[in-house]
Amino acid sequence: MDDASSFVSLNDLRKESTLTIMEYMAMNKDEPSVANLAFNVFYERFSSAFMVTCEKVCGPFECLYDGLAEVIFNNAILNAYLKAGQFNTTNKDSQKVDNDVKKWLYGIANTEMYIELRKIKASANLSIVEDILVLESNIDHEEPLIAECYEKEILEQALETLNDKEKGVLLMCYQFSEDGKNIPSDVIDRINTIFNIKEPNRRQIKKRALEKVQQQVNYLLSKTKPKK
Amino acid sequence: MSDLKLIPGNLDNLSEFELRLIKSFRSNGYLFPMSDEEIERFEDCHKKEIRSAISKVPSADEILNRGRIEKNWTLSTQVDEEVSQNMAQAAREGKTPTDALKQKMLDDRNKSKNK
Repeated sequence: MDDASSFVSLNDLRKESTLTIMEYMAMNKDEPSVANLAFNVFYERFSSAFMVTCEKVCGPFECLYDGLAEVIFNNAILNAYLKAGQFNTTNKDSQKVDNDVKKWLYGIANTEMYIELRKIKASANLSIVEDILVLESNIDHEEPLIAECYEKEILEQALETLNDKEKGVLLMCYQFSEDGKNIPSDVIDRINTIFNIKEPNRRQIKKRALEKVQQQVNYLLSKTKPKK
Repeated sequence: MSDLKLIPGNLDNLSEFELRLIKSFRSNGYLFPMSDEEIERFEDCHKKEIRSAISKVPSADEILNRGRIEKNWTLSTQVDEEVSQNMAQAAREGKTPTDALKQKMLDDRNKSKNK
């Protein structure tokens, strides 16, 4: 069989749709040279936004995990290459396909964060759980019907009212919960280990953090409302 | 995370504020975005950073050659039993803290700020 890379160039691949790129990447075992070229194109399209997202999401935990963003970025995007065959979408529109790829990538990144969270527990000489990597290729996220998002500045100022522990507990609870609601029991266990708290304290800290944020958001919104 | 068990005791009822807050966190990069709207909003708000990140990211070949990064994290937070015991005491009793306890809590807060 001819080496496919001899007749596929990087420039050719740049003209291809994301779906085709994913298909080429999925050939990483049989045609590694083509898959590597396809990965370069994939990387050109998605890496910078993904890097910024990783830096933002991991930012609040940098005091706990130095270099977390780099690890999540590296391991998640590498997994996207290795598991490209698992990606699928029913969308045909290129923008929607790109968004589906991003959602898939964020799902992998979330799993990677969870793996790192478990390592903290392992390094604290507690039980070590075998890694189970879950790659969700179909992430159907149903958007609840709620009002618009709060502005970035309002969020930033509201989060400034929290100390590191409050901010970390609040964000980790949401990061690893399903739609912000159900928090897996072992995630709770690890959050408590990381922040050196007990379960009743976690609930209290989360509640207090939420109240502080809400209070500050309401205050800031009341200031921006036009006076009658 | 399908390997995880959800237990009913962990259910929290989310208020409208909390739902809006989570959506805002996802749209502003505090949590990974999960919907088209959240992704688009995040990228709209961070156009400049995304453009400048192009020069910061390692090359694709570097990622493939490097493989997985395995890191053993060491907790940098120190165990402060005294602080947690004081908080637990206040939580357990559910009473108005005495002046002595308030002072102790204030000292704890200052202690953690100065770390």
